[in-house]
Formats: sequence, C-alpha cells, structure tokens
Amino acid sequence: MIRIDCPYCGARDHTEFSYGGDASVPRPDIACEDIKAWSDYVFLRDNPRGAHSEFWHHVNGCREWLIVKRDTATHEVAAVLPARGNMP
Amino acid sequence: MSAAPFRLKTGGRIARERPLSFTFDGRRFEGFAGDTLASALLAHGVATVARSFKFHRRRGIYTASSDEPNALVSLGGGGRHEPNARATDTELFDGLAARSQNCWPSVNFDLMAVNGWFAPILKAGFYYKTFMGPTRGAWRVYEHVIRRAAGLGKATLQRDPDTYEHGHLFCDVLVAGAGPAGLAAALAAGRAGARVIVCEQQPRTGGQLLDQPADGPGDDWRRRIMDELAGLATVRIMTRTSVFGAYDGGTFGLIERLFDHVREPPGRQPRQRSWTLRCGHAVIATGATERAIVFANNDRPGIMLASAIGSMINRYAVLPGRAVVLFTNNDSAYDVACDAARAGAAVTLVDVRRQPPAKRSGRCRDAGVAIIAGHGVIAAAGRKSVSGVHIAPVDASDDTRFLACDLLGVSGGWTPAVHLMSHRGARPLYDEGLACFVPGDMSPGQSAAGACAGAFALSACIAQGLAAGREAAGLCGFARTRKPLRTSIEIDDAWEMPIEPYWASPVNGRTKSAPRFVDLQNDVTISDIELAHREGFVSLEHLKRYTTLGMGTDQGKTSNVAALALMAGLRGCAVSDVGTTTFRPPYMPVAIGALAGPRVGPRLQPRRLSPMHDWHRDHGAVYIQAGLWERPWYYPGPGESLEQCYIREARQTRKTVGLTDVSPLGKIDVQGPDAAEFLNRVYINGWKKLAVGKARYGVMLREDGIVADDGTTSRLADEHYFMTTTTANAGAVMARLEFLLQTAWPDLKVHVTSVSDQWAGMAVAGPRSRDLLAGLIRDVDFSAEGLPFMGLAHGSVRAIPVRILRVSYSGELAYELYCPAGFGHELWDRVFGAGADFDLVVYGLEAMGTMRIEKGHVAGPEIDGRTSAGDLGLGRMASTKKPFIGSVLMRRDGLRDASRPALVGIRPVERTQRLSAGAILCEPGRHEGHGIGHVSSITFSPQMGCDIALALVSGGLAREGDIVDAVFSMRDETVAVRIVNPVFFDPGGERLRG
Amino acid sequence: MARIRSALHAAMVPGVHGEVADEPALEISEITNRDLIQISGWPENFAAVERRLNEELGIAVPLSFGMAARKGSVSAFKFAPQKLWLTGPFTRRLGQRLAPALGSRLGVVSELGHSQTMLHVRGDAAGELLMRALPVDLDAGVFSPGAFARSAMYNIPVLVHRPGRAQAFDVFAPRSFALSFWRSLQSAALPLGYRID
Repeated sequence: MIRIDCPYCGARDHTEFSYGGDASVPRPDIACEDIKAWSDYVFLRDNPRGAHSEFWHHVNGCREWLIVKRDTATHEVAAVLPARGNMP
Repeated sequence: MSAAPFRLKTGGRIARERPLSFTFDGRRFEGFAGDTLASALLAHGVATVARSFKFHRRRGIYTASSDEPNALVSLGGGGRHEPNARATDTELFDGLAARSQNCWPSVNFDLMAVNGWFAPILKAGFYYKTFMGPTRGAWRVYEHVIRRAAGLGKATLQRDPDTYEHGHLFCDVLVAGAGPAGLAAALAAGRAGARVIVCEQQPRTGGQLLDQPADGPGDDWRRRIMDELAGLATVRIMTRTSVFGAYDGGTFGLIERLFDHVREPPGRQPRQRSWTLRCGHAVIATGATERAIVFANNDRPGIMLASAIGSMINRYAVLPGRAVVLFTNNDSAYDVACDAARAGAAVTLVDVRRQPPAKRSGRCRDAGVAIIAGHGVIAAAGRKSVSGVHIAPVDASDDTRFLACDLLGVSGGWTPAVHLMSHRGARPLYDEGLACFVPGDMSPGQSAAGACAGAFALSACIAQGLAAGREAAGLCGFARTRKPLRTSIEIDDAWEMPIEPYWASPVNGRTKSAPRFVDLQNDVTISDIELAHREGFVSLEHLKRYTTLGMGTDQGKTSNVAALALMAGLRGCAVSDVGTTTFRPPYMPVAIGALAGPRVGPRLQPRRLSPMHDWHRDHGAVYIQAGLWERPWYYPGPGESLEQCYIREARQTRKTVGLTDVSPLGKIDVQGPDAAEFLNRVYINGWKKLAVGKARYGVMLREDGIVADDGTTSRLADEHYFMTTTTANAGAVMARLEFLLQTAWPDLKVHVTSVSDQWAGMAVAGPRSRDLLAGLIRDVDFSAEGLPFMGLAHGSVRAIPVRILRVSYSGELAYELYCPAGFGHELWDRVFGAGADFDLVVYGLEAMGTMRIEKGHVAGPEIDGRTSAGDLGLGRMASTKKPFIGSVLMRRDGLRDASRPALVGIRPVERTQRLSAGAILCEPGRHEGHGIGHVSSITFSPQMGCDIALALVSGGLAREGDIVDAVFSMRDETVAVRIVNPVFFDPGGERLRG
Repeated sequence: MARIRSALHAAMVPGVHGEVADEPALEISEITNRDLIQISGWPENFAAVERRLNEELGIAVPLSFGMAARKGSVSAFKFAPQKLWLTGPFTRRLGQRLAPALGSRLGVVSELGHSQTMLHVRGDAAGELLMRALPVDLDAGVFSPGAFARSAMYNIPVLVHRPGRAQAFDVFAPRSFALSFWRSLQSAALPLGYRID
C-alpha cells in the first residue's frame, strides 16, 4: 500500500488514486503540428529503476492531478506536488 | 471416561473448573478451558495425530505454537470445514470436532503408508525425472492418482455460513507481539502519550512469560504491566490478532480471529475480521522459534521441540511422557529438564557441548536430571512412537548406546521471527555467535525488540522493548513521560554458555539409510538436500523450489535455517554466504474470506441505480449489468422471450411512441469564459458557432488519433454547456478533461463538474412523441419551428423543471427530457400516464440497441479503442481549421491506410439466416488468418424483418454490394452476407428531422 | 416545489435492528432538505469568492482544506484549490442567489442538490462503523469538529463530515450508488446494532 500525501486531503492510500504514467514528458502545445513530437509524447517512455516522476489522479478525493516522485524499486515516495504549476 | 493419564494434578494455566469435551476422529475426550487441541490430546497420550505429506509416516505433535509442521487436522463440518488447522494453536471449546487428514482409512492404519516403500524414488524432483522420454505419456495416467494422493487437508465446496468483515485502523505506534518485549514497548509508548495498538496472536498476552511456571515472577510482572496498560486510554490491545504482513508506507495487514474459539459466532457477528492498519512506527516484537537438530528417524511421534515440552508443562499442566530425554546444543533445554523432572519425569539431558552451563547443571542435578555432555542423539527408535534414542560421543558416532524414553525434546537453537521486518525487502544477517539470523538494516518505520532481535534473555527483552517503545513514540512526536521508565523482572535466564552450532548428527553404519528429516511438513530429508546440491541446485531459491522445503503451510519456520546451514556445509561456504529466501506475506495462513471481508456475492461491487429504478422494478423490467449500472433490459409481457419483447418494443416505438431511461449517461457541466474554446480542443468538430439553445453531436479522440468517446453537448447559456458522454466512458472522459485542464491548459478559464447523478434522463421517441409532450409540457412550443432538431428548451411539469433536448438515438422524432434526479420518478410516471392516449410503450436497452443499429449509429462495440473517426465514417466531422486532441496523430499513415476496416452494414444473403456477433468476415471460401474484418453489433431488425449487423471491413463502403462470409469458428458457422450501407432504416433521416 | 424522492425510498425501516442488549450505540437517519452547490473559481481571485461568501452568508473565511466553515444552516467545504461545496436548506436558493452574486469573472456555480444522498450516523459506535470501510482516521483527536474528508467506502466516493462535538457524522454518497451504499452500511451495522427513527 503506497501512502500518498495529497496536499489537499492528507495522507491517503494509493487505492484512492488512479495512476497516470510518466509525468516528466513535456507535452506538445495544442497547436503543435509536428507529428514526431506528438508521436514521441504519446508512444515513447523510459522505464527507470529508481526515481520516477509520475501522475496520480485523486479520483476518490479532491480529484486533483498530482505529481508524485516515487522510487520504482522501493516504492518510497520522495515528494508529492500538485500537477498544476509543476509541469515539465 | 478415565482421567487423562498425562495431565498433571496441579499447575498450568488451564481453568480446571471448566471441563470441556471434544472429539478427535470420532473418539470423545475431555479437556479444560485454556487447553489447545494439542495439549488435550497429549494429556490423553494420543501420539499419532497425522500422516506425513509424501511418505505417510506417523506424526505427532511437535511444537506448542503456530509454527507446527506436523499436527495438522481438519476442524468443523459442512460449510465451516477448515483443513490444515494446527492442533497446537486451536483453542479447545466444548463440542470441538477434529479429524485427522491425509490418511485412509484411519490415522493409525493408513494404507497410503505404502508410499514409504517408494521413498527411494520419491525424492526431490521425481516427477520430472520419472515421466521423461518413453514414459512421458505415463504422466497422463499417474497424474490422476498422484493428484488425489497429494495435499494434506481437503477444502469444502459448501458455502461458508459465516460472515467476515474488514476495517481500517490508525495509530502512532504498532506493537506486533505482546510478549515481554512487546508489553514493555507498549508501556513506554503509551506512557509517552502515543496512540498504541498491540497485536497478540494468542488469546492472552505474555508470550514466553506464559511458558514460565504459573504464579511466578513472570506472571507478577505481566499483571503489573497489564494493569498499567489498562489505565492508558490511548493503548488498545488486540488479542487473537495476528499481524500477517508489513507493506509499504507503514501499512500492516492484521487478522482478528473473533470467534474461531467457539462452535459458531453468536448472532450476526463476523467470524474473523481483517484490518488494514497504518501507523507512524512499528515495534516488531514477534519473538523467536525454536528449531531442532536433525538425526535419523527424527520424525517419530513423541519427538517434540524442547520448549514445546516446557509449554505443555507450564501452560497446560501436561507432561507428555514419563521417561524424557532432552537433546540440545544450548542452555534453554536445561530449564525444560528441570520443569520435567519436578513434574515427576525421569529426565536425561544430552548436550553436544563438552562443557555444560554450571548454574543450570547444578539446578538440574538437584532436580534429579542426569546430564550427558559431549554426546549427541544419532537415531530415534520406535515404530508407532519413540521408544528410545541411540546416542554417541560427538566425535565417535559408532560408539553408540541406547537410552529408553517415551518423550524426546530437541533444542538446536532459536530462530528470531524476522518475517515482518523482511516483507519489504530488508534482508536479515547471520550472527555466528548466536547461530541464527538477526535483523540487518531495518525497513523504514520499523524497529525490533526482544527475541526477534536476537535478545533471548528476559531482562534484555524488556529493556529493548522499553527503549524501542520510547523511541517509536518519540519519532511520532510524543516524548512526554511522567516518571522514569524502569521495570525489571526477577528471572535471570540469560545463557551462561554460548550455543554450539550443530545442525545434524552424523550417520553411522547402522543409520545410513534411515531418513533424516529437515522439513517435516513436506517430507524433505538431508539426502534431498544432498541430491539438490549434486544436481547443481545450490542457490537457496533453487534448493527451496527443487526440494519444496519451506513451501508447506508452516513455511518451514522450524526448518529453514537448518536447511540453509546444511547447504552451506555442502558448498563449503559460510552460512551468511548462502543468504535467505525472500520473505513474503502472509506470515501464516490467512482465510481468503477474511481478506475479502464483505466484498462477496452481491457486494463484490457496488451497483448504480437510476432514479426510476423502482418504477422499472414495479413494472416487471428484467435487468442487465452495464458496468456498475443495473439497467432495464426489456419489459416482458406474459410469456414473452427477450427477442419477442424487444422486437415488440422497437416496433411499437417506431409506430407510435416509446419511453426509455437514459439516466446513466455521463453528464458534465462545462462552464466558464473559455468553455467554447475548451470544447473546440477536445472535440473533432467546431463549437464556437453553436448558438445558445442548440445541441451538437461531438466526437472525441485520444491523443493517438483513435476515437475515445462520442456524445451530445448543448449550449445552455453563453458560458454554460451541458455535455453528455457514453455511459461506459463517463468516468474516463471526466478524468481526461480534468487532466487536460489541470496539466495541459491551466490558463483556460473553464470548469468541468460531473452532474451524472444530478439529472434523471429519459427519451421519448416515435412519430407521436411531439403530440404527447406538447400535451404534457404546456409551457414549451414543440412545433418543428418552435423546437427544431438539435434544439433545446426549458419547461416544467407540475413544478418539476424539465430541460428538453431534441436529439435522437433511435432515429425517430425524439426528445430527451432531463430533470433533477429527485423528481425523475414522478416525471417519468407522468410521461407514462400521458402516454396511455398514444399507445406508448416502455422500452429497454435491447430495443434501444436494435434501433440504433438500424440507424447505423456507432456505440461501444464500434468505439473499441482501435477505430479512428475515418474508420467509423465520421472523418468528415473533423475540422481542418482548428487543432484538437488527436488532430495530428489522426493523420499518421497507419490511420490513413485505405485497407483499414471501416464501418459498413451487413445482412444475410439468405434472409432467415441468423448472424453471430464477433463473427470474422472473410472473402468467400478464403477463411484464413484474421479475415478482412469483423461483425461488431448484431440485432434482429423489426423494420428489415431479418438479422442485420454493423461491421468493420477492409475497404468499407467501397465494397458495398459485395458478398462475403461471416465465419464463427466456435460454432463452425459460415453465413453469406452482403455489404450494405449501415443506415438500414430511413436513410434520409426524414423521421428524425420532422 | 415538487417532492424530492429519496434514493433510499422504503429502504430505511424504522426500529431497532441487529444485535442489541438495550439501547443501540448507533442511530442512522437520512438527511433530507439539504441543497448542495459547487462553486468553482479561478486562482487569481478566489479570495474574492471567499469574501463574497462571507458577505452574503456570513461564513468565516479564509477557508481551509479539510475543515468545513459553518454559519447557521449553511456549511462550506473547500475540498480542492478554488473549489468548494456549499450546503444549506433548499429554501435558501443558494445556487440562484450566488451565481449572479459571483458572475463568471469570480466563479461558476453547479447545482448538485439532487446528486447526493446524505445520511447522519450518530452514537458511540459511529466512528467504528464508518471505519469498517472508510480508510480515514476519524479519531476525535485527529478528525475534530468541522473536519471533513472526501474518500471512498465500498468503492463508492463519499464525503464524511463531523459537524459538531458529538460522536456524529454526516455522510454523502452519490444518489445512483446510494442504495448499494446503504445495504453495505447496514450489513456492517448489524453486528453493532442500530436504530432508525
């Protein structure tokens, strides 16, 4: 059970959240027409062992999207931030 | 019934004023409250209680704890039948009925014992070696026999009549184990003001203190501590509660056995409860398990762990033998020797160490114990139970002599219970001096105290417990202590002499072929370990899986360390180099029912109901599960089948008017100055020009260009839109919109709020729908000009505000009515009532489906995560003037490939032939590979009078008119079908736009 | 106004249920006549929204996450940045009153008064009952008067609120889930014993 310290709801079980994947990949602007930029964004992901910055959506709480820095080997959570304002 | 011959007249912690009666294999016995099944059986001299796993050798009671490998019995009957219960931790209650397992016809005369004759070939890995090459086919014959013989207890297929619960707990400090270290830790943490939860597996607190003679200094100390704990309001003690797993984030799994110790739970109480506990810091005080020394025939009934004999004497007032031999390599067994001698046995203690501990030897000699130093037990003798042992000097294994005995206690040392500390990956370290594994680096949020940390003396346990409890409370922010913490116990049980590592006695000429068991439960012997070593399975993980050692219900708790040490010996390396296997939860067997708690049967998932649910139920609806929703599927008349019914409902709707419940649709409130821009970005079509009071159909793509969802969005006001989504995707769409607004477009001033539960929705469809509604909702102009197709109006019915959308899923002249959910039932009732004059029919999901297929509308089976807008014939909806989600990747080559399957309609060439959903479409006669497409949605069309379907076919409508085969291999079915336009009915949409 | 039909229509049977010696340690009732709206604002001026709430309704501001602010029969629950729920009697017409008072420059209002079923659970065993399913610490020292949490029970999203000093909680569950929620809560309450008035 990973405990995620939601900035608005407090520490909660990860089962209240929905996992949203790698949060370190910059998203192309809506107006970007470059097919490679979109393709890289949609399809290419690293799979690191260790520090990982990832999205979690607090669906059964405040419904805010958060960025969690989690170690993929130990599940230790180093930080939890609101996604808003902390995007790569 | 005669008195139990091995029950001591005084002493123990049983309640002699409460006798109980129980049965074992149908024989009736008496015991007392406070007994376990094992102690009561030993009191009556029952030696053989089980047969071993492979060889069906007689086995007796080995331990006095939950680590028991041998004495597994079946309890209860009917739906309460429980196999593989340990007699040693089964609390005795009046009427308990236990049965032996894994034997036939009886435990005392077991025909399966013939397996023992095959011992030489039933070695580790024998399946693999035996059924190879030409004999491989023989496996098919023998598998059936072997499967039936395998396993220990049998599970029941009857329904469990008991209920189970689950709950959540929070505290600052968790203390796992309420022996001396745990109680001390709880005291220290509780005095500091922390919220403490103490979990004790046994019915009473005390741990190893309960193995001391009753009413001694151990009990004094225990009572003092319990009294003080009772006065600390923030301390909660949970007995009969095991901590079975340590998980990330300071989370622990607990099982509370509420009513296993009585015949059945009273009233409506649950039998067991599992808990998810979250704490700030945990003090692990789980104690240590004794282990044995391996020698020939070391599995005879009457051979026990030495400490188990001590427990039997001091807890249960049972001395299971009259001539006792104790075999040891450490000081602990000396205390048991004294207890046994004082209880009246003739005791001989055999110590492999040449120098026995002085003080303990003195006490033993005073009690009449004979001590033989520098010797070891080479073999046990006896057939049905132990009759004696052959001992020899440690360095001269042929120089044996025989000691008669009827009870042998073995102590090879102690193994700290490091499981909870290791569940999160922390590895224990081997301590050469103690000859055991002790905690290494601790997992975050945990500390260890007492025997589980390698402290075997009581005073050390208590001191460590106090320190750990204080530290744990401090780490949680509690440092207040009223008075200095000092508590001592007047028992000095520290070891005088160190343990001498001694894992197995040597063999001599006579004992060479006798089995020397390492893992009793899985019948794994030293020769299995030697075989594994010879065949190269030398890593511990391989050894475990090749020999199955440690894989039984006891997880090898009394045998793993010896196996490790023996493999280290074979490999010629240090024990610490062999390592340990991975420790995984649960620590002991856990009933799956307890983990499931209430989430079984109808409560496995929640159900969602429409505001009109009661009406549907009262009018005979048959339901279908659509995700979490329970929806009316069809409303059968007397004797009507599903097919007859939906055909009637759809036909009537297209003839006069139909009413259906669309409340489960996803509904999202979109508001803000940038609402239109937002819609422009998420839908493929344009929204800036949609006027207030108008609705539009929209399609959403994923970023990769695949269709995600479709729905209708209407403009209620300048900056206020009402979006609908498909029922199945409502949650996913909402989450995506929130993701986009919070992460990609935080500057857009628009909010999305789910209003799915706020609104009840119903569709009124059919040629007479206008007339019906005009008569019912007087404050709205329903004329074609007043409320055109895709228009929006607001009205009311008897003070119920109604939002009216002129949209159509059925292809008929139709309106969707929305009102606040609490009025839904009443509005529906009024529409239904008004419908009497118009031959209104209520229709369900099936008829709804039939009509949308007749109109070629795509739904879930077509929007399946593989189709693009182009595939579905919606490509021209996509705007070329503005960017939207998916607009770039929808242009990728893969999605533009002309051979992609695209939406078509199909009908059987021979009208009366039936189609199968999921059929693969193939060129006629060329049924190979994945074909050229597949059938996505089928129905019998009342309008066409035959089966029709929507399908995706390579080439799409370019192949209109072609005949292809619809192949359904599972039924060996091939139907010739013609590719047609997917809009089967009213292709011009005249009914729709009237 | 037309009558609002409860999602638990006929499902809450008055009387004492389950295992009880004499007085049950649990009382459960449905809260009716409570309206609910959501106000969603913008980061640069949400303080002004809170001030407007203070002016219109007398609610103490600034609002904190996880702590409801109450004035009379109206309560405000700020559950996310620039988002709050407001409850009060239907007669107060909260949505109709506040939408123009705010205007979209300050924030938007969504009517949610029919979307939740609301229960009141009171008694010594109230916290124990809810924590059978709620993974949130309801201990009085941690979840003090006014505290609220959005979480899930039985896989159903809920809001749990301690309105005052007593051992009593309000629980909101979405209307479509309400009957399922009630059945699960009932099962958990039976071994404890409960009364419905």
